[in-house]
Amino acid sequence: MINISPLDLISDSAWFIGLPDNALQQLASSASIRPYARGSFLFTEGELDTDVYCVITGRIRVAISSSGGHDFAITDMTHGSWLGEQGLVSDTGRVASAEALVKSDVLVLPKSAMVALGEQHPLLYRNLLRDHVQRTRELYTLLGGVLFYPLRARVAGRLLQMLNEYGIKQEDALLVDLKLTQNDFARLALGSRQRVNKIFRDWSERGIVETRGDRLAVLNVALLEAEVSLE
Amino acid sequence: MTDSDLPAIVSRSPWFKGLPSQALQALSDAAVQRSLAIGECIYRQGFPTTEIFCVISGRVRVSLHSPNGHEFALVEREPETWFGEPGLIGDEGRVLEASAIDPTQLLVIPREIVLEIGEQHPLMYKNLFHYNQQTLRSMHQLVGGILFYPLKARVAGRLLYLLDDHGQQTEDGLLMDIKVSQNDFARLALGSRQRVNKIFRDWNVRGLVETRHDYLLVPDRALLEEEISLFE
Repeated sequence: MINISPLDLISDSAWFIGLPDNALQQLASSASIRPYARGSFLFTEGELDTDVYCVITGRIRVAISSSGGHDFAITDMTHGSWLGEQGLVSDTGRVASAEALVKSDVLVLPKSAMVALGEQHPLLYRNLLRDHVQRTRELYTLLGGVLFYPLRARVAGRLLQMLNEYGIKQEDALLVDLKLTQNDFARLALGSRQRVNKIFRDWSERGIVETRGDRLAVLNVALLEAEVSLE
Repeated sequence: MTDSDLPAIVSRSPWFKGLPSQALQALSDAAVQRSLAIGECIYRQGFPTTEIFCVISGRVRVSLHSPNGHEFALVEREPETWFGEPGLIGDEGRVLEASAIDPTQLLVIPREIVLEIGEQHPLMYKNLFHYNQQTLRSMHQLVGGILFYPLKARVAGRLLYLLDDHGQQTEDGLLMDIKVSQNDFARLALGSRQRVNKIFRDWNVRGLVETRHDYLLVPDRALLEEEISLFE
């Protein structure tokens, strides 16, 4: 079992900024920590689940899927990311799924505790709204990217985003400190695996990226940025 | 519409539900009307907004634009719809653009007043969170619909969606009470005008859709629903 204080996670969250300590302590007392095996789901699309979650360790992928079985990854969440707040105001089922991509530990708060907190301190909803507006922006930006840009630009955009969040500086490159397969990129950029593989082969030949162990290194960020083009 | 009608619109807003009458009064006092001609812009992509809006009459289209000028229409805001809440959160530029597609009358309130009311009555934020949640939910459905479905299904989906709000039941079927051109459908479903025209021609030949004096008529809704398929 992971050794972490729920109160620390809650106190660090933008959702709970400005709320009194005793209220946060009370909220923390209702928290539990759940381990998720790789490939298991926090919730699935359509499921009537109303808990809220905070990722402690591992990586959780939020995705939507078609009835034909395609899935499109909206975002990957890591330590300190909160999700699931839709359940607080809606009982019509989840609009996306959340899957543990690797073995993960997640803090879980029941809806009843969140609603009780919101009743006493409606400021909670201002924080949630702020977070929401930000996420809505990201979703629109992502939609614009998928609608208007060709696959190569989308893969480059997703890789640059990963570099921002998980990039580690090495002598001759920036290393993405995540294990990402080309299949992952296919889901993140909504393309076929074959076409994504072809793009990576081309980038590899042109000295833009390189595989190091099970990590991806970007040797030339400027060239990668130049791949984000409408043409 | 006169200014004396504004308090009633404010009091019906889902954003301000449950707020005391003096708060509603303060919002109404600060509200002004703004008239927009067809095509006039309310806010542009990349620029922040510092007001909130409610459609009094007319129609407003919210779209995404690509750097090379493609437009994708996301939603249409109709009377009594409130929008502009991202401006209450910060000064980041808008990621979408909104313009009038019919002659439109808007109710406009400066954000300072709304923020003041929010400070005094944080319940407003609970209402906004609920509202925003609904928006995000429809957005997920739209993203799913656009990404996974072929153009014909997207056009059918958009037409069915419009019929829900604008379809008048007649003897011959559901008649739209607004004019929507095939160009509009191209923007609504992100397809080329040529391909959308072809889809409408096919539907016309098969009796799925007819045109009555510039207004679309759908004789049998169920037949149109069958066009929503994941496969071309």
